[in-house]
Amino acid sequence: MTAAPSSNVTAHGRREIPALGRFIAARAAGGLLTLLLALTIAFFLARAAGDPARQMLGSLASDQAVAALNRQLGYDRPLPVQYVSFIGDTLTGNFGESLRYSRANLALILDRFPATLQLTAAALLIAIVVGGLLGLLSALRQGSLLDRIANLGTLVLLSLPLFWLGLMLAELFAVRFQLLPAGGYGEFRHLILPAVTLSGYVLGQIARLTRASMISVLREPYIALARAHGIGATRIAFVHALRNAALPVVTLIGVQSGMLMSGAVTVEFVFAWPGIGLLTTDAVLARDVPLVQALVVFGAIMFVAINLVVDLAYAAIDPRIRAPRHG
Amino acid sequence: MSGAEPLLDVRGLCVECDDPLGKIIPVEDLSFALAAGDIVGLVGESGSGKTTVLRGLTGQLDANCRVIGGSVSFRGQEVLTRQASHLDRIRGSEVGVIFQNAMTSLNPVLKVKTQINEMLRAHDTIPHDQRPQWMRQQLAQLGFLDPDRVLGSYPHQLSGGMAQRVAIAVATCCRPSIVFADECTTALDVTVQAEVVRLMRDLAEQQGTALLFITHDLALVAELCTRVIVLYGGKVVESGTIDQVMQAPHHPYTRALLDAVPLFAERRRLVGIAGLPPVVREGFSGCRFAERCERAVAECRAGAIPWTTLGPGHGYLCIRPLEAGAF
Amino acid sequence: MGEALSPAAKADSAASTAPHRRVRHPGTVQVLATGIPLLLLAAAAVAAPWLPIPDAGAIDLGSSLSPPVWADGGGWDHVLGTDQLGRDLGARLLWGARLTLLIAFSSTILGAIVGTTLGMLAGYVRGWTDFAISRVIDAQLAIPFLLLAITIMTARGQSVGAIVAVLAIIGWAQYARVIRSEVLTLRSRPFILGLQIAGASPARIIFRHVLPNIADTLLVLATLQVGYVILAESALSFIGLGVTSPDISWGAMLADGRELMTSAWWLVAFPGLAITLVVVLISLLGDGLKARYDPRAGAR
Repeated sequence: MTAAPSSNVTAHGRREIPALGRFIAARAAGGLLTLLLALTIAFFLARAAGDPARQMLGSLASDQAVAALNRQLGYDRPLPVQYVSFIGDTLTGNFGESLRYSRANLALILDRFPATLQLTAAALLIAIVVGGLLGLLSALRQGSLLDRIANLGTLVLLSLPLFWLGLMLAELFAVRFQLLPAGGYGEFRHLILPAVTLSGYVLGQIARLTRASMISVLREPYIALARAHGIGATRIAFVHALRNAALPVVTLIGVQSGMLMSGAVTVEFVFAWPGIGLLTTDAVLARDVPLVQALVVFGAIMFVAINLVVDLAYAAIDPRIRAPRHG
Repeated sequence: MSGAEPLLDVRGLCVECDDPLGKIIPVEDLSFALAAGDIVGLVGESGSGKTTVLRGLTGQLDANCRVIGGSVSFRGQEVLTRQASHLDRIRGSEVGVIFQNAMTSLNPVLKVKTQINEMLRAHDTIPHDQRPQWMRQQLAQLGFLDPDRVLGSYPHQLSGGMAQRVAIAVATCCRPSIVFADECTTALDVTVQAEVVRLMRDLAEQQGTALLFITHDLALVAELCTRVIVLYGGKVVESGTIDQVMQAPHHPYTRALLDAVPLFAERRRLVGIAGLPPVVREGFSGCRFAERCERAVAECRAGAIPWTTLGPGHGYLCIRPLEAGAF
Repeated sequence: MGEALSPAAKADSAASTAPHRRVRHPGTVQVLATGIPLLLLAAAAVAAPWLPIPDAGAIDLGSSLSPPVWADGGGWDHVLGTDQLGRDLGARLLWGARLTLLIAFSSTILGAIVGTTLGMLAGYVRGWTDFAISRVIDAQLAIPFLLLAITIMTARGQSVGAIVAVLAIIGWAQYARVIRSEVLTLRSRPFILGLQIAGASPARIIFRHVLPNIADTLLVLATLQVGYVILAESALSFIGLGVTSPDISWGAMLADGRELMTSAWWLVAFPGLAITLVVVLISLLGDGLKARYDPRAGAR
């Protein structure tokens, strides 16, 4: 990757794009492969694991009823055949039909998607801002009381069941103090408790990683040099160090998005938030296997998509990824 | 020394560090002065304390170390007792620092122009609108043919030599009166080294910048510097002009150093110095070099060794010095 | 160029001649302080049937929904209160601990065995095996764990065995990933090469030489995983897919207590507190073990 010696800035700019394009393409291809494999795993674990039709109808149902359901859902076909049609259907956007609602699963999911998106976005925002700030301050004041309290606090956040936190918060703020609604949807105030609850785990993770990452960056020679040159501590923290420290955190967010989705299931359940999580718990209660399966597919797609976005964000922050070396 | 008022006057600097097994004294009774245009080489092997000297002078000592004695005055003003905020004004604008590894001393996520601009911004030496032009001038003076391209680059896009020159630009862009250079040629290949040496010399000769060149490389010192200070075990064991020290060394360690360098040992076999530099703890008495010195006798370990002054800035720390001309 | 003017010039405080002091292993205090309470809890859970505590299944409608001892209406016979059937909460917590811990340990061990084996394989054999296993790990981790658990449980039906299997399936990937990277690093060490040259079979090398070296990483990881599994099981049970009546687990207790929370907050508070406390202790134990076995890993 040696550059022509007389290249100017525009040539350099033009050369940037192919490298970035290649990066995106590589990540997307990897993501697709992962997705395919994930769907395969989900499929075989679900199908090979048991008798879905029996589960849906219950142990008291007759064998004929079970067989009929199996035929209706296509579960009586040989497994490889089912698998191929499953993959094919998924790729063409056919996620099956819900037993309970008699509607296309994908449509059902997309209906509820905006609500969950709103919730997770809010939760992520809280986690990033509060967690990031907490981690930053802890790093700058290592060993102080703030640091110790933050350490304990994040430990607790990472150890408690999210839905339990939700229940307690609801009890406290909705029932005892009557400040916020305990459930429901529609206004901003309905969002507060669920979002705060959902942010818990990821907030703890972000706070810890930001702290560790920041401490590590502050030890770097370029920071020591900036200090030796008299650049103020605040400026060093926010302009020089933070961007470097943010890199692992960005990756973390991608990895943790799975936890967010899992968390959304129980949190939406607690607060009756009409999103995909609630849809999931309803489907579970109704033993609506096709819908549950469609939700897993959707979840996996979301995870892969989010990580792709995260990779892009990483490239946007870290010039070493997107700009090639030139002489 | 030209008799001009010294820019930097260090007297009796002592640093101590905490260590699980007791206190270490990495620097003891260090004294030297820098006047405008001086190029002083501070020579020592690893473990001699030379890095600690730099850290002590720039106020960058580790948390477990502190200055316990001596004075450091800049333009007649005592610096050690000053507030950090006051020192920040001197740092960068009056004192520039260059580290050994240019790549790690530049912030990987910031462009070159941002990093230089941070310096200009912090010390407000150049008015805002004149900064771009100033930066281009600086880079041109340092030998860059396409300053704009370099300004728009990230550190990882530069070669080692270019990075080091950028580091010099960062250190000198506010026209400091003193520059500390810590092993800044070690990581470079020979041709680039020669260029950097030339640039350093130009700095001193044309701008009147005082240079403190910290290194283990005697040959480099002989080429570039006007004076040399030999450091061993945290103490100055010999100092003087290049001619004085190189042609007629008095301290056995200085002689051993010269013997170990092919350039100077032409007429003799290359001789290494067996052993390791000592870790000096509280209560260490006697000559630090005694363990490894061929000429050591009982008195060498007994008590404090007095400094013998041969002239202004010329002297040694030994009770059994080599005869003049023994080289 | 005149580099390192003496043959082995290193600024090494090991060269000091200070008297040698016995250094206690870092983290030991933490390990003991957290490990002992946990051990006591596990012991109490195992010994529950023989301990002098109220019967967890004893229905006593007369004292239904009585609060903990320090609140109005509470009494010392039911220190932590009772549920809607008058069953003692403290006793139920201890009985719940049995299943919760049993599930946690079993699935951790199961997941550890599968994950470690695959991780070692991937790290040692490398090549296509590694590629395949790594892709499966990535794929596994791409599915949000609760959704995967739900899929399997919905299709499979519930039983403690199924729960253990599900949680193990979710957990193995974490082991595999970490162990794989450990083995990759280990593999490049000279002693492995020596063994290979000496003709030792891969199986022998893996089990007799690689495994002991990764044992401490595995221990730390497994410890932390127990915590995650407890949280996962409680989430599953809470939405009705995990442990169900008449079995008791802490997660199931949370599900039961939810509706009555406003009138009987203790039914929700104490099981949740129990989970949080145990997971906190487990995390601290894991950190302590990490500090003890791998202090290089950067003390915070």
